[in-house]
Amino acid sequence: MNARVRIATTILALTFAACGASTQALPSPTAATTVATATATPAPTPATITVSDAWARAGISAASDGTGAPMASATPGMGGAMGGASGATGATGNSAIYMTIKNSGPSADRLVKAACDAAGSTELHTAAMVNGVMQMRPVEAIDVPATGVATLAPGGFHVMLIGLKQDLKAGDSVKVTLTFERFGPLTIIAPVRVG
Amino acid sequence: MRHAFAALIALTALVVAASCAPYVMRGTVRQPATPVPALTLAASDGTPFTFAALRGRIALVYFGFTSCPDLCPTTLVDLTQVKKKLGDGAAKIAVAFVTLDPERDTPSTITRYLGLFDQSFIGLTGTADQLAAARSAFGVTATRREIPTSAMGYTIDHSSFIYVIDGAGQWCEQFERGTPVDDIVSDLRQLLTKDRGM
Repeated sequence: MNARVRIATTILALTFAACGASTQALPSPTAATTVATATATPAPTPATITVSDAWARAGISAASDGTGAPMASATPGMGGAMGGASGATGATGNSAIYMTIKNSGPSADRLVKAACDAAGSTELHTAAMVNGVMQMRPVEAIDVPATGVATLAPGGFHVMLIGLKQDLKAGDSVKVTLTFERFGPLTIIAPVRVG
Repeated sequence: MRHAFAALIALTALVVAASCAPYVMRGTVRQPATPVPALTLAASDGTPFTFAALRGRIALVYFGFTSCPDLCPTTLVDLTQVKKKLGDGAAKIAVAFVTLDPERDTPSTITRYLGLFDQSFIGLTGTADQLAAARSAFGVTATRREIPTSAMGYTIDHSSFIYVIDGAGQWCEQFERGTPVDDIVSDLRQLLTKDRGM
């Protein structure tokens, strides 16, 4: 008997709570006042950015290649003797990080920078098929629309890790700090998987 | 009643027709198939390689580069899935990866890179001339593109097909980028059935 009364009370309480919530959501003058006083201090609410489904692709590091990859940094004294081999250009041992970026705020934002200690350089890139040819290019920023989503996925935008310092294997994870134009920095952890 | 009977007949006819219809390959079939070009490349242990070495198995050939972070690994992951789904049939499949970036892809880099996906994948490189001949034979487009604004230095814009050479050494089919794994598996099963005598 007692238990039944308690359940009934709880349901009643929940119902009232629900009513309260819906009242607040309605644009009634009283509710609006309540909300305004509650968050009065910081006047303009900043865009709210959240990241989900982040993952980094497994990759190999040229630095851990014991057999002497044609890296300039590996043979600093050999530069002249090798006649400045063009094999020194750029870094091998790359990877990419993918994710979904959600912007629940009313203003558009942009991902302008990514930084990750696991690689020598971290850049924002996009990939696209153009006339049957796959092209990859750096981009200055990735737009995250107001109350919208930016998707970083294979075949499109990605955070590119260039010159991995060590192999990235499934089960590892990498820490990445994303910088948004409005929201500012946001650090995430991306687990590593093969694909 | 008569209608129901007619419908039943029609349905039966459809089912029979469907089961008798010849299998339609899902990739792009080459008509006619041509013998795989007589090319010499270098295996990752430095020994000369020709596609004749893969006779008796179906070879899936892909051109890419190990610094490619997006498209090449996506395709290689698909190929690992293909092998898994083929089960026992996978023993009759060989995957060969030909580098488009011999400057950065040393044999050991290629081997370690392919090891991320499947230790049995065959890494291939060669002299500039050998690789150019291979690209030309398969009709591969690959252009080195300098990117001064990137730490990558340069990238390689490239076409992306998986070329299929059957067990008799005939280049018979190719899959374009994004072909579903199940379509590739389905075609390979068909080829394995056809080549049962190989």
